[in-house]
Amino acid sequence: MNSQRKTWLFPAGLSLLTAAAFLLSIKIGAVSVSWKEVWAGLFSGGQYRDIIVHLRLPRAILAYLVGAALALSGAILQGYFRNPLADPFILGVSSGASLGAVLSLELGLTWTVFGFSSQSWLAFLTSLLLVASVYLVSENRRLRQGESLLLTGIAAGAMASALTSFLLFRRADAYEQAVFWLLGSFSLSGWKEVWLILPYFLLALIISEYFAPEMNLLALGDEVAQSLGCPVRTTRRLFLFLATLLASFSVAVAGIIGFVGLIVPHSVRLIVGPDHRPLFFYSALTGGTMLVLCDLVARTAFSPSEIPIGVITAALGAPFFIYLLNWQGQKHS
Amino acid sequence: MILGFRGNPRRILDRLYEEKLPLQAFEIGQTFEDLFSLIDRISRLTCTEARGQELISSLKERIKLIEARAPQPGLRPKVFLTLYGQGQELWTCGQNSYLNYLLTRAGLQNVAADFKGNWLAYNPEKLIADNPELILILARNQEDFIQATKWLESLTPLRDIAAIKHKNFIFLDENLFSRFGPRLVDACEWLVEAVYFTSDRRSS
Repeated sequence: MNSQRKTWLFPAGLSLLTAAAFLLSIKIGAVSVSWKEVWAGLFSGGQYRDIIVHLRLPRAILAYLVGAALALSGAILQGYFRNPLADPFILGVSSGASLGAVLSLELGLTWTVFGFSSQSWLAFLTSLLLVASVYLVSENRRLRQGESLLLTGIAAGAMASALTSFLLFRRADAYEQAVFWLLGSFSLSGWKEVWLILPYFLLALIISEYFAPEMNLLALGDEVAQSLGCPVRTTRRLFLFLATLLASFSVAVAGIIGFVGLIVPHSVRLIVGPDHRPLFFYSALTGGTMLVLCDLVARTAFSPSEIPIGVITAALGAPFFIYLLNWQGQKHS
Repeated sequence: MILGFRGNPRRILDRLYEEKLPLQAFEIGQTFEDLFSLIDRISRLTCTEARGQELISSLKERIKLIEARAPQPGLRPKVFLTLYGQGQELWTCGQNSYLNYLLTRAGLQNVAADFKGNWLAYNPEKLIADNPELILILARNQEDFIQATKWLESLTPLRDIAAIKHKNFIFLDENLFSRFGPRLVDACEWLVEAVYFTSDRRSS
C-alpha cells in the first residue's frame, strides 16, 4: 500500500507543481496583469498580448526545456561516470561556452545567423569543440576511460577558464555584458529559442529512455555490462554525445546555469531509485519545473531589474541539496 | 604629483601613499556640482586657480544655455538608454548613475530613473509598458550602433514600442559619455542638439 502510494504521489505532486509554476509565470511579472487580462492576452489579443504571448509564455517554456535538458544531461553523466557529483559541465561545456562568448565580445563580433547572436554561436561551437578534444585526448590514456575523460575534462575546463579570465581582464568594459551570459538568463528569449531546442531535447529524451536499460547495465561495471551483451563502447559514446549536445544547446540559448544538472538527478534518484528509465524521465520533468520557478524569482525579486538565474539556482538549490543529503543520512542511520 | 581616482584599485593608491609619493585621491562625482568642486581642487593643487575658475565659469554658462534649450517639465520625452551589446540583456542606467543625471539635465525622462542603483538589466516587459519615445544607444562606433538598432528591431515583443516602431534611435559616443570630467558638459550639449535639433544624428 505504502509503495503504491509512493508510485503515484511523486508524479501527481510534480504535475501540480508544474501547472502552478506555469500559471504563476504567465501571471506574475514586472507589469501587473489580472487573470482576466492574461486570458485575453492568450486568446483574444488585448493590451498585454505581447507581454503574455511573446515574453512570458515562451520564456516559461524555454526555462522548462533548458531545465529539463540540463537535468537529463546531468542524469546521463552521473550514470556514465557512476558518480553522483557529475554534472553537465564537468567535461568543460561551461568553460568552453564561456570562452566562446567572451571571445565574441573581445573580437567585437556582432553578426547574427538564424536569429542567434555571434555570442550564442561561438559558445555552442567552442563547447562542442572542447568536449570533442577532451574525448580524443583521453582515449589514448592508460587510465580507465571514464576516469581519464573526467580528469582531461577538468584540465581542459581550467585552461578555458583561465583564457576567459584573461580576455575579461583585457576588456573590463565587456564584463557587464558577459556576466549575465556567464550566469545564465532567459531575458528576451522568444519562440525561436524554444523551437531550436525543442526537437533536440525530445529526440535526446526518447533515445536516452530507449537505451536506459543499457545504462543500468553500465552501472554494474563495463566488464559485467559487456558480458551481458551491452555494446559498452558504442553506448558510452552515444550517452556522452547526448549529454554534451543537451548541455551545449542549453548554454547557447540561455547561458550557463549551474546546479540544476547536479542536484535534480541526485534528488530524483532518492525518490524513484537507481533505475535509469524513470530517473531520466523524472529528472527532466523536475529540472524543467525547478527552472521555471527559479526564473520567476530571477525576474521578479528585484523588478524592474533582472538578476542572473544562475544566482537563484545556486542560492535555492544549494541549501535544498544539503537538506536532502541530511535527510538521506538520517534515513540510513 | 599623482592624481588618483576611486575606480583605480584601492591597494594601488594605498601602495603609492605608503611609498610617500605626492598622491591626491579624488572621488568620481555624479553631478555638475561635483565636477566644479573637482576642477576647483585640482586647480588649487596645481596653482592654477585663475584658470580653474575661468573653466568653471565657462562651463556654468554653457549649462545655462543647455537648460534654456531643454523643454519644460511635462514636455520632456521619455527615453531609454542602453548599451550597444546585442547580448541577451537590456542594460540601462538607474537613478544613481551620472548618465541618469546627464539625461535629466538635458531635459529627458529616463524610464529607468525609479531604480535606485547605478546600472541594471532592465526587464523587457517593463520597457514595453514604459513605451519610450527615444532609445539612446551607447556604442563605440556607428557600426556597433547600427548593429544594436537592428538587434532591437528584430525583437518581436518590443516591436510596438514607439521608439522602435518609428526607428527613433540616437547614437551616443561611448568615449564622450563614459568619462567623468569637463567632457560631461560637451556630452550634455551633444545630447540636447541630437534630441531636439539635429535629425541627422538619429538613425531614422
